[in-house]
Amino acid sequence: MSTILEKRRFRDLDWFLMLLAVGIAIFGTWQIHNAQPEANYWKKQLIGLGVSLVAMMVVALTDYRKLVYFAPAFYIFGLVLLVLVLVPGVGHKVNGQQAWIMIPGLGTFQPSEFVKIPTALMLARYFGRPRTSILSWHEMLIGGAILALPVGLIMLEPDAGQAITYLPLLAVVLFLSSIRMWLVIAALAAAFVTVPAAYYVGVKTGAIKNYQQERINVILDPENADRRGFGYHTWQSILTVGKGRIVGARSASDYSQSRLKFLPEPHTDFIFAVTAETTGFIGSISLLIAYAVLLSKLVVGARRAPDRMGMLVIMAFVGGFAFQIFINVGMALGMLPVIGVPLPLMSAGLSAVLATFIAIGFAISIRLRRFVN
Amino acid sequence: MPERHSARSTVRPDAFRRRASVVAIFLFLWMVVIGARLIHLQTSQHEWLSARARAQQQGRGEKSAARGLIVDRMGRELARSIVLESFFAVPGEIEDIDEAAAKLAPIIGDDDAVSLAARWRQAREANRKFAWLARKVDAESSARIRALELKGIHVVKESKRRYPNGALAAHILGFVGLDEAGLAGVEQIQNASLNGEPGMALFEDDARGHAYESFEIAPRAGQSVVLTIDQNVQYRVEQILSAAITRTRARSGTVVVLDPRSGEILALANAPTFDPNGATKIAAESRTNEALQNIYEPGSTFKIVAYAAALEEHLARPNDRIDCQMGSINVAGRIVRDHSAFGTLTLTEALAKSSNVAAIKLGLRVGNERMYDYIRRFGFGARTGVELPGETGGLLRPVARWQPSSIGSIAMGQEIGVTPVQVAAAFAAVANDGLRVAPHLMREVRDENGVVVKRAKREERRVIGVETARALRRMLESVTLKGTAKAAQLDGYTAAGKTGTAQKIDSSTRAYSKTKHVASFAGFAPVENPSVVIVVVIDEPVGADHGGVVAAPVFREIAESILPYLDVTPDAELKSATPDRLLVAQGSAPANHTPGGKETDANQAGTDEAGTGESVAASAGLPEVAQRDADRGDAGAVSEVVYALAGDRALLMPDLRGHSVRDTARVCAQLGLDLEAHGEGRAVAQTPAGGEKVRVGQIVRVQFSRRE
Repeated sequence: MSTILEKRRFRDLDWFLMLLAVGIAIFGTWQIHNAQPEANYWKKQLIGLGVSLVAMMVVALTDYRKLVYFAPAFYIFGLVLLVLVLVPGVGHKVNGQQAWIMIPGLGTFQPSEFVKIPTALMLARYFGRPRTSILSWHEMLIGGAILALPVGLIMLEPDAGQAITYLPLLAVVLFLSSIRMWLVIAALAAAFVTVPAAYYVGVKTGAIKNYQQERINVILDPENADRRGFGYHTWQSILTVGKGRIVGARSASDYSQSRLKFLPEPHTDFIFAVTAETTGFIGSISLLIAYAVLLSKLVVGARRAPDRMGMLVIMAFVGGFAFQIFINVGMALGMLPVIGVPLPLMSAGLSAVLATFIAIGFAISIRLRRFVN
Repeated sequence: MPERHSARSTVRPDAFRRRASVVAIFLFLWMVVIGARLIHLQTSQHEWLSARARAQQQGRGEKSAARGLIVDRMGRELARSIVLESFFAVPGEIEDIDEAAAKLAPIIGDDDAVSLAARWRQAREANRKFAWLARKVDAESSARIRALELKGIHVVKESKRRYPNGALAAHILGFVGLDEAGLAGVEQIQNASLNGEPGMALFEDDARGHAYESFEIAPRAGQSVVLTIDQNVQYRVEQILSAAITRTRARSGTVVVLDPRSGEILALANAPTFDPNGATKIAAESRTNEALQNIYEPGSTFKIVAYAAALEEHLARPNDRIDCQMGSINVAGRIVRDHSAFGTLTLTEALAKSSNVAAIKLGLRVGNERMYDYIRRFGFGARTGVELPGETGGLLRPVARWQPSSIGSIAMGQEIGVTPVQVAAAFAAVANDGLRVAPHLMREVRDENGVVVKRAKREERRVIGVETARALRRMLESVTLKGTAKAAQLDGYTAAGKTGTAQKIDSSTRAYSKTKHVASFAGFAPVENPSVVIVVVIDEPVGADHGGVVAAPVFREIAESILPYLDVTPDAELKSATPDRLLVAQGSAPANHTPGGKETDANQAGTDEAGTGESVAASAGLPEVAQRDADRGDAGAVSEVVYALAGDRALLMPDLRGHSVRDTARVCAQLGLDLEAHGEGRAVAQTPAGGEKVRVGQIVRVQFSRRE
């Protein structure tokens, strides 16, 4: 019985999804190599990919319902890690952000990347029961609290970029949990009205400081605003993208923006600009299509999930991925302010790759159990 | 598979489908926006962005080229560029403006601390990031400023033109502006060669400014200009001229010394002169090079043209007798008189006594057209082509515009404007057997490796026949022997020449002035094989005004001083052999010249000179040890210092400490030592040390410093 089950499970694994994810990750590793050929980031990334594949398989072959059942334990463990990272001596500081824990012999890992998973599981567990009514204020409050704990701790690191990637988890879950439509519309409308208004008032009253204003000006006029500060990142990224043309710039006489370290963080936050430079429009649009296929595969998986809980888990991850891609690519193309958000499956970073593949493992696991048994 | 079917048809109570499609539409729109943005950046803006990326990768550094040297014919430096440090302040970076100003003000000297601080404050308020503090600072002050280690005070290297000999040859060398562009003299006319070309370094830069690849267009260092000037001759000429100007209380004076065989100008001096080290502060009139720019009526010196034409055209012979009509002649209604009434003279006598009547009669014989032709042939009325800016061709009217009386005036040197260089070139033609070699100042241009890239082209043309020239030379010799220029007789050499005393045209009355004259003498020596042509022009001497009295002695002094130096064999009896007539005692350098202006390199010349040096030493009998004037600080005292000869061939190195750059240069020029000066101010150290034996032509290094 168990052998039949194993065989069937193996056959029913979503190989396409896995291959697509691995394909993007390998493509990403190539871009990391392009970005920093002298550094060993791409080798680390390959090792990380290997580890991630094992982790993904383990998760995929485990019943997600058991994992969701134990979500509170994972969640609390995650919070402990987030507290630990803040403890001086344990947490490792890079670029002023105390976001890493050093594991002797293995390197550093970034708890804030992993805690997304238990957070999504917690949200799915809480909102996953079959709904019969419209979302209540009480439920929204609980959801907010589940999110607020890790986000608050991450803000203490401080890592605002990582923190905002948690927001879509809750947003998606609430959106799919019969939140009142008018609330969504009101929130959007409020954002559209209040943000510019607040910006205007802030500038007028001086509450928004010059450097904060610069971040906005950078988007409006990237070449001239704040060339030495935030504008530099954006401008360099635009230059890098622009060099790519249709099929990419790799002729011998052409020197890569990222290799010359003009482009900051080319292997992490600005990996998309590197992709655009080295593979051109063809490469970058292909990558985006791959993402679209990946996300739609996940959405299809969510629709066919055996229960609401599974659906929410996948959709929370989809929301997280989509949001990160949205922000990261927008930033690389100079359409959004510079926020340090990694591009899923592409940016160098063991923690991010591992977390992403674990999330995909969940999707596979959920799809594997789409047949009611 | 029924199970599968049932799973697919599970209907959810929430609005999953609708809401998910809303999200999907948003994502799709975002994809479209990103795609559009990508196409925009990567196609329509590609060229521009790539160019910008390349631009930021490419650093561009200009590498300045050192300005070339100007050296004399022996390679002695007349002008060189030294690298000095300039300091500037970035007012915003200075921590304590008052403190910094208080520390710096005494060092830079030209600004007090309060106003310096005030200037910085102002600059800081105006958000200016750059303010010169002191430019081209000498080494010592520079070290002191550096030692303060003040924040916000930065240093850049700038090069500064230095003329180690001060005013020596100032009118030839010219000077440069603050940016080292030549503004006069050789500096101006050879600016392109001297300047070199700044190199360009194109770096491919990474973001941290490290060059990872560079294409370099190497700077082409400024080329060196080798002049025909001999520093020692120039020095002697300037000394003698300056003394003569003082003695005659003249307004100004000019001397041109050239080698008639090569056309090379050995010295060209004007008095008063100026120091090109600070030339921009000097009045413009003392910077004009009168040798090329002063148009004067030559007077009697010009008579050689009429005589030469008459002889060449076989209209007269030196021994022909000519009636001087008791000193009066009527030329087309104009009565011209001689300074004394002469009867019938030979042509030679008439020239020696400078009879106007004889010159006019010869002129009339020659006729207007031929006279004009000879004037042009001798090079008047046209620029000589000496390589200096601002040369004038003088004034010579074409025959069509001559008055009927003009031929008479011109024959005796009136109604015509010439420059001293033109006169020198004309006499050189006579001296050189009728062959006029265009006078020139530039010998060659060498690149930084010493390879000659440009050489002066010898331009020559026959003016008169060899026989005519020889006859004329003998006639001119009689001028010094029996005529108006007995003061030009030389000790040990035969000399020939012609005096000139021209009345100046008074600008107020537009008539010839009775008091203002130009006294001149143009001559050469030795007569049979002339080595030098010397033209002396003294403008507005007070008191004695005749060329034979005012200018001829200057000719004699110069010729007697430089002929032995140029190693010209004496062809006449030495009238006196007193030690004070000797070169070293006179303050002129022992010769490091081989005969006839041909030269080998300096060392070779030095050994060749051994014989000369010996004889000088033997007969000199000067004290063995260099005496130093007690008052070292007094610049004027230096020329009185006596420098002894140590032995057969060596001199004793004087102790130069405490002397100014100019004095040191003068002393070294006198001794024939090659000065290599470092820094500015007064001498603080020297190699070799005082009292050591030195050879003529040896390089002497002296460190100068400005110390309070």
